[in-house]
Amino acid sequence: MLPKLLEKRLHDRNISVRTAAEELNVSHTTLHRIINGETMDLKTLVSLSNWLGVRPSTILDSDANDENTSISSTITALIEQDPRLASAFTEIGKELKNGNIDLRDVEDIVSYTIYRINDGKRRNNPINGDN
Amino acid sequence: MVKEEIIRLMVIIDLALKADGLTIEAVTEIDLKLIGEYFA
Repeated sequence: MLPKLLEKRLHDRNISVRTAAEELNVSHTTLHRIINGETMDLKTLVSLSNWLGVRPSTILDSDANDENTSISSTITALIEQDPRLASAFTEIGKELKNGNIDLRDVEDIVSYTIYRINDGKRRNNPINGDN
Repeated sequence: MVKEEIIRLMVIIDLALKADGLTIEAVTEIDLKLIGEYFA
């Protein structure tokens, strides 16, 4: 998803990857790596989302956007997979209940969580990672 | 614009995955420093 979004944005604005990287405050090699599927940090994800005008979950393109899977069952599966996430999702649940975030926001956070977990797996098992 | 609250919660996720045994209060205290980097 990200390469297509970037390509369209570059084409629409008639700018180069290097110019886009300058606007995003990252090096053009970093932007090329991200386009090629390498991991980005949270700061870059937020910058890219704002620059492209899309939600983080659109960029991350994860299973959290799957219409056949409820967000609550995805969260339950994530906590079962990694119990360290329990207190974090408790905090997220409180913010949802208090009206500080909505379900679309939770989808963004769940997408980010899946992205981070998959990144951790790739780092721990580089032979099976995306190359 | 990505909401500040979403970024705060994503930082909490980051920290939860990185650090075993941190309470949510400790995570919240730490993440405030990190969030400063995004909104400086």
